[in-house]
Amino acid sequence: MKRLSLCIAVLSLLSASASAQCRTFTKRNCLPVLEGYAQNDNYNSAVLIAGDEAELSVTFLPSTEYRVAVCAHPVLGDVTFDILDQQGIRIWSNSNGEDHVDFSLQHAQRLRFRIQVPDTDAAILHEGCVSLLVGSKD
Amino acid sequence: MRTPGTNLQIRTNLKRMNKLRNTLFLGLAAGIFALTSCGEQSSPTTSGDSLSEGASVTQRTTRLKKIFRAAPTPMETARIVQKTGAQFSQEHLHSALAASNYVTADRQAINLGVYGADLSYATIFEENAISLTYLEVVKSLARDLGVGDVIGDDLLTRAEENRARQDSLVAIVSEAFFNMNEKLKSNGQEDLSGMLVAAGWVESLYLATRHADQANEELRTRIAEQKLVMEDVLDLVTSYEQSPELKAMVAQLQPIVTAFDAVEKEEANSNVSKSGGALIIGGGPSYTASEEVLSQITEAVGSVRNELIK
Repeated sequence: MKRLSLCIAVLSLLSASASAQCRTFTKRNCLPVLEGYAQNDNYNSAVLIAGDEAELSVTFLPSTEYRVAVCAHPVLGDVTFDILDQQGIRIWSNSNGEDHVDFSLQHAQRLRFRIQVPDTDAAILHEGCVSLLVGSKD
Repeated sequence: MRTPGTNLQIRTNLKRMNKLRNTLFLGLAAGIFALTSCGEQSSPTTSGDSLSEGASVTQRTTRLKKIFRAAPTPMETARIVQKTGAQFSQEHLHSALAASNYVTADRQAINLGVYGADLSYATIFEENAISLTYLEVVKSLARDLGVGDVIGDDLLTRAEENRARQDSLVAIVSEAFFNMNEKLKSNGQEDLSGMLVAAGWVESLYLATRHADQANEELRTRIAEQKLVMEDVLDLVTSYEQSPELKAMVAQLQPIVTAFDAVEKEEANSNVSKSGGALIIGGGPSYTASEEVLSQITEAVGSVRNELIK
């Protein structure tokens, strides 16, 4: 029981520390990509490893210019991200290594952003922060 | 030459160093023990040695899929409503004087969402004096909720200095709510963040529907499309740990959910073109609400919102 409590305490401490680092990383490295756009209220960040995926599904409204930025710690390599429309059809991907995409819509539509961290054969796995931020403007 | 006092001091320092060494050893051992004997971790946030900010060596080997959830902000809703030619009416905002009525954390979070939406509307409609008043209200309620440090005096000063610049005010308000949500989540108060988001959506829809009887076709479509936003909001708040207060609030939204059930959806394919480096996404499903459905939504939103501000 004591051993379990100690495990939980130490893991909670390490987890909190990783999350705090991720928040700092996001503020320093990701928010600047949204320059000129008002950031959405939502903070979408996670600590991922090679081979992990992340996904955000959210509605975008018409008459608004949007920028979605994906930023990942360099230790994870070049992450890829796609946009899928409401029917699940891929309509864009960052094939040129873009870290953001600008768009607007004619009607409200729920889009899905799919992020993939490249896999690795490395013996030592690193985890790194990945953030997806949404900004909008007139 | 050492005096007996100096020897005592050295012995005391040695004792302290030994104690510190033991403490450090125990801390390190506990860390190694936890990382090696707590089993394989499935959590995405378990880390080992820090290499640099935002990255570490991990013990995790299983792959995972992280699902982020989000919803459009009241600022976005206010913007589309303004573009339909709708008018701003201060009389529909929640009274700034009522802010001090809320003394429990759940009521404060809900009404922080309500006032935040009012603030967003006033800002988008360039009612700058009203914006500054509501920013003060939001600051005071955020302080009561324990997240007041995200709206410091410097932020209010920046808002005052930029009162004539709508884009600056939009950026300041958005930054404040981004930081507030992040702070609530990092404090382990996701349920309060959920209440804030849901109440903000209800208030922004309340303001959008106040003149629904005179709404033009565009505004009616924008209101019908809020069905999607409602689904986002419900998805987001139900993904959080369900405290009794959050559960109660989700139940309170039910009349709105029922009213939106009657909104009609017509499927269509998306088409994508490019303009100046930006994508223009056309087509996609369209949503329509008849006069009757619009009136039911308006009524449901009005009664839920009035319950929330009690």
